[in-house]
Amino acid sequence: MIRFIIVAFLGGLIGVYLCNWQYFEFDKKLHVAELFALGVTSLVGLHIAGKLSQQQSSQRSEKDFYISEIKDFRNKLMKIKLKNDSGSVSFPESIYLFRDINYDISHLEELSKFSTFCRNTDFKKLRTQFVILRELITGISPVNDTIHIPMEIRLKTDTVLHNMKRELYQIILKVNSSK
Amino acid sequence: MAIKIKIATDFSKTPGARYYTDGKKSGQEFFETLLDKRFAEAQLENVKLVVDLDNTDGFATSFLDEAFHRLADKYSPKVVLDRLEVISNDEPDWIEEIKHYINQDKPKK
Repeated sequence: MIRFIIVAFLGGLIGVYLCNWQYFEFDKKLHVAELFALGVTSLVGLHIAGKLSQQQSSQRSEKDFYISEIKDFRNKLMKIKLKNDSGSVSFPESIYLFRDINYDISHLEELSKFSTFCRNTDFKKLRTQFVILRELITGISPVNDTIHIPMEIRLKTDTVLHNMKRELYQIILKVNSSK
Repeated sequence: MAIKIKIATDFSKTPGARYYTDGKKSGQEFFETLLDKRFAEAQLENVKLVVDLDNTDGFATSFLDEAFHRLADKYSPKVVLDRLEVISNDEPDWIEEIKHYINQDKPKK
């Protein structure tokens, strides 16, 4: 809103200044070549503006898609966090969840290969943290198909989850700031 | 020629945890009933042993750690690494993890 008022004010000032016609000389004749050049310049200007706007909107939707995939991934990490906080998780559920998260990391890696703005995103740190996380939980021997997570492991799991969330946040920042 | 183990069909689609005491289809059971025997056959025939991890419902770290660490304990990490080939298209990171379990120096249980 403030920007609009400033632009309108500046536009008014420039308008008043330009209305002092004595600065300009007017000729009632117009050369056909100049008219043609004016037309072509206007068309080129409109074309460039249209293309730029289209490109910007396409990039935005690509970024939004990528970020929504990262958010889905983060929601799965939240499931691990909830199980960790509760102190137990069913053994088959944990196996399924970690396999799913592993697929998601591969999916994000794959997407980044095709993407124009996060091609060089490094997923090594995220994957390393994932392997540590998987080892922490599925390395525990289950009792009656349930993994009981000791307090010491819960604290370590929290740290790893925190590191993974930080990595994801950095990836989102990189995606958003890339042009 | 190579000897092949496809865990999903030759052992279980839902592999379990580490020991027999942890429940069904443990890493210990996999080692004792399948992996060790097939590895010995591969040694005898001087061919590769190919272990295919695909098409299961997923693995616990404890399952693979137990099975392959026991194998390395019995035959030495170098012998195992020279003869073993792991296929894991579903979760490719297991290949490096298994190499790590084989090379890991842990006390026997």
